[in-house]
Amino acid sequence: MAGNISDMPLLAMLKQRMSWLSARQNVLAQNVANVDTPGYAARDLKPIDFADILKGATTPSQFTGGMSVTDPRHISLTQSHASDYGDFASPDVEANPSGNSVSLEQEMIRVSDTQAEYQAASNLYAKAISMMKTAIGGA
Amino acid sequence: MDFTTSLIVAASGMRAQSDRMRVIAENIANANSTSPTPGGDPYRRKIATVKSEFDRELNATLVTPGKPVSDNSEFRLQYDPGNPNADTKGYVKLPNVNSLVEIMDMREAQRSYEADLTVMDASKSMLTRTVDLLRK
Repeated sequence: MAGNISDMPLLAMLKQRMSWLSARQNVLAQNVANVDTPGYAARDLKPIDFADILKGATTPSQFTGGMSVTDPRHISLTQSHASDYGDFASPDVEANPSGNSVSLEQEMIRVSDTQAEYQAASNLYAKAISMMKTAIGGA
Repeated sequence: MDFTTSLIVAASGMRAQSDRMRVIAENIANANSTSPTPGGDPYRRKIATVKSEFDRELNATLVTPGKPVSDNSEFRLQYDPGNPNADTKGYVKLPNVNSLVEIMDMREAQRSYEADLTVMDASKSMLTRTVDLLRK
């Protein structure tokens, strides 16, 4: 395996998952902040397609997207902006008379959901690293 | 990982809500403020506004408190001929503030503020988790 340890398929998948969750948290924060803004429509992120990730994980060179990095001195072009994952309007409830469609309850559920999934992903990441340490005898 | 963005967005929501709270406090405090001149207009109720604003640098929609607008509904009239501010017919104009409405608004602002706080807590704990990976 050439290059970075975080380019390993498992770690790269977890990295993408965490970056997606952090982008989602960002979108949810905007929804909650705009709960009283007239005319604001709630937004959400498109879920990432597991089949796509799996395909990417088995062919690592296409996984990161953008230009391929063939030399350690190259700078990779990956970013984690909400727009990269495609956010779309997803009204929680029927818009109220001021045109706002954010439901605080719905958003709170999504926030705790995102938080729990992030916790799971980061625990898996730590576990993968510790397994790697066991394999190389570092304990 | 841009958790700082969600922290900033949540903070902008909290700022907007506390600004709204200030306007509500002004209304409640002035619920009985009459005009200093006989027959003149008393305190007029203000309505807090919020508007969303896209921040290009953060690539996120922030909330900013807008300029409070005044409520153009009728003033309350009270028959009180002894009052020095009464008009020639003996009526005093009282502000168009309904404390019940203000309390409702206050609860709403409080609820939104708490929701922003929850998001902030969640983002902060996610950020801490990421940093904790360093210790493993």
